[in-house]
Amino acid sequence: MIDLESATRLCEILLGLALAQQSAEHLFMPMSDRRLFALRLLLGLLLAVGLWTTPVLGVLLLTSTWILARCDGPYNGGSDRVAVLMQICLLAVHLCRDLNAPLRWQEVAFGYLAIQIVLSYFMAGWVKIVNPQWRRGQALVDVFAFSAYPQSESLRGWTQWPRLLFVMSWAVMIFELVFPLALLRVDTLIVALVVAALFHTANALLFGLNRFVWVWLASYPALIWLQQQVF
Amino acid sequence: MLRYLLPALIPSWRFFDDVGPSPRVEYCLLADENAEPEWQPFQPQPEHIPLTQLFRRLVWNPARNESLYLLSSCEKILERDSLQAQQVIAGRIALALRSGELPPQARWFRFRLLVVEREGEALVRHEHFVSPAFGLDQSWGPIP
Repeated sequence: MIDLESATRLCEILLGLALAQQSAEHLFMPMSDRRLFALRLLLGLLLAVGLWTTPVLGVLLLTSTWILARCDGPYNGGSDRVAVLMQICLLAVHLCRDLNAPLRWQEVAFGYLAIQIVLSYFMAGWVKIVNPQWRRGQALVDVFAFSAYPQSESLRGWTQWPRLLFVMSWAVMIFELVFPLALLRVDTLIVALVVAALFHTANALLFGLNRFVWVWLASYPALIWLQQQVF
Repeated sequence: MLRYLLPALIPSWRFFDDVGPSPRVEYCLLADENAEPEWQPFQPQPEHIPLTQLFRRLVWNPARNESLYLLSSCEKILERDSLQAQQVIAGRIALALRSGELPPQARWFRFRLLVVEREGEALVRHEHFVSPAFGLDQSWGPIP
């Protein structure tokens, strides 16, 4: 069993490390504001070690919002959105604790995060399976053939195996659609989370989406907690 | 601020729902604003990345994450002619020229967006956007 306090703490450690990793990358990007990301690096580490969590989450959320405005949207797509979602929900949990609000309010805030992560898989599967290009396997062929996502030109060679890409397309769609069912039992959830982590890792290796790995992993304790609350 | 936070609080989760036209950035250096352009790709993808380097990029990939942001800026230009996105791409090219990442041989530059998409069995490229000329001495703030 994992209680609410342990689950939130695990999420904070993993999210803090993920934000520290991203911020460190920004220190080496020519266009980025190095002072801002040096601050976020420090805040990420403070979050990971559990010091002054409420104000740290507050300042992280403020700076995240500023970055969203400065970049006219997320810098890094879905991973930034999940990171901001986690900051909002974890801050809500801590504010409820600090203000001695009923435990139920903390559970609602944390549960909302878990439900959104479950939806992230299911909805991603749904929008693919209703698209005939995905059902035919053509979408994944096109991702490798001409999208800007493959990290190197040699990875475009995967288009030479359309049957493999067809199988991979259906594997991804089916996994994403049935993901919510994994919450019925804790052992199926653990297996599903391992598969999901491998899926994110594959995307990181092929398309350079490394931030997705660490941010989504940071949310997994919330799913384990939710499974034990509901089932 | 709410319009930036709401999509994070209530996300749509539409990942890779469609594979649309894919932008590529090219730039040209100009002796003056009216010179004929000779286009070159900006930050072309490497031909091959060894497996060990791919795994290292799991924990350290600043250049790639920046290029993904430039990609999203290209998409904003294609969707809605975003001036902010144009400034982002121009600023990054200017930085590359000034820092010696690219050889600066002129005082002006332009960039353009080519779009690669499928037409039947073939992949086609066509020019979708050409920027105004930017001076190398123009200043841009940090992003983000």
